Amino acid sequence: MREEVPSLFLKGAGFLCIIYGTTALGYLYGRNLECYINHLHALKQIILMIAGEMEYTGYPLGEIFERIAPQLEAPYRNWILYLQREIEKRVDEEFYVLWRRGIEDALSILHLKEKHKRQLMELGMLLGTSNSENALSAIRLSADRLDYEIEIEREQLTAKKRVGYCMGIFGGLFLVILFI
Amino acid sequence: MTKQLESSKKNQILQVLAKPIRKILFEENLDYDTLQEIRLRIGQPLLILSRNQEMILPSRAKEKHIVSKEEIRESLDYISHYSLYAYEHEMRQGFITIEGGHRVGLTGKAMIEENRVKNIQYISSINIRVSHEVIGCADQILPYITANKQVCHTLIISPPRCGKTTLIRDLVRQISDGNEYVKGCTVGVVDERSELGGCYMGVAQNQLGMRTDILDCCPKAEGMIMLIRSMAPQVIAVDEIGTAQEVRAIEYAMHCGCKLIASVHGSSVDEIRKRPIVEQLIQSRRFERYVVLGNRSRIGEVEGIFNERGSAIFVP
Repeated sequence: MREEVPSLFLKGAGFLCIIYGTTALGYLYGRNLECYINHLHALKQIILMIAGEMEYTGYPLGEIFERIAPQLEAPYRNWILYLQREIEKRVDEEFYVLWRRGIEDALSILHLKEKHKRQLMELGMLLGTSNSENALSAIRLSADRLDYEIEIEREQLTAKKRVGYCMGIFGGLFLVILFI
Repeated sequence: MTKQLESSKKNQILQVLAKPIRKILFEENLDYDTLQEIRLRIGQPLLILSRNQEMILPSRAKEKHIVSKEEIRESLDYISHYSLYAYEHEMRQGFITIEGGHRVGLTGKAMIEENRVKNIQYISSINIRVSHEVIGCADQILPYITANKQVCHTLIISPPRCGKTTLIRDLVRQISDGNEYVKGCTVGVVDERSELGGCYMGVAQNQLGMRTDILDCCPKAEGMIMLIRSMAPQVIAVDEIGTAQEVRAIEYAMHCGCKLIASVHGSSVDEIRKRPIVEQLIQSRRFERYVVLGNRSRIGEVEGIFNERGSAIFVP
């Protein structure tokens, strides 16, 4: 009897740990979803900053990137600085190539969804065209599309978060039952 | 010219060309000090002009390189730092100035808006005109356009391609730095087409002297007034005057006590005297010196220097 008490206590603690652990996983899932929306929001802000500089100063892209990079945090700063350096090198045949590479390399840490990555890459095809009006329209359109995507993600966020928490708790309970 | 300067000129030019063209020019071992032009036309051979001699590249190969559409596009990307939109204003004038003051002429389909060229699209030809300064080309005329170490109001009269811009550039440099004929003074330059300073991102690529302030890509009439108000120049230099507004701005600058150095298209004082706009400046003897350039024996030859009454004070 004396030996069973600590054993039960240990089991209970173990079950609690499992439930806490899976609940934390569910919570982390929800946090990641929130972070993802923040990333999209930051990308939209960067796009609008580029548009603003383009419209106000009319500087070439390299200089625009140089001006906005100090206002950003990693990994966005690294991305913009990478683009600025590559422009100065003048080795890539098209701006789109280095824009795409920048998204794939410097922004890989964001784990963007394929759909959002594609949208961002498409913008690279229109930046640097001969007409500033066209370039600005393309940027604004891209920002609007990103805004729409943010809205969709935000709408789904509460439900997804709830599902995440529930899955965490119930997953933990399920594991506990399985162990019992 | 030192090897270092020539090498930087080479880099400035090669870095704006598409990689296959870069390779050809690199292998040619060209003398960039004498190179005048590089011409790229879609579907046509790659041409260069050096010492007034045209050459089709690669010079040693039987099969000449034909410039492709992709090479033009790639070169344009490098010329504009992948940002053609930023050069809309320059493209409207038909050229972009690159690092080193070299001028890249462009032709293609002109976009018209309200009867004015708005932009150029479908660019099919690129002409890179290599910038060469002729340091000291104003040495000959400086003693005649100065008095008591002060510059006289001077009008340079010259037909196109006879070196008036080159002459003004060297005059500005010498007046700004000062020498035995003139005391170094503040010079304001209004460079409407980036020809005098060859500015790249606002910085003059040509030597304009240590006391020179340059207003790049600014209309001359407006620029002269801006300079007077903001930089208090003792001398103002402008190239190719021709409109009534510019003449008014010149008169205003003279009233403000600035000395004027200007140039105008023409072949003689008598010829420009007949032009209604410039006529009033000559009749009222605003200019104290007239320098007439020509190209009979060589480009930039001084054919005569005249005083305000039209009497010759120098004839070669």
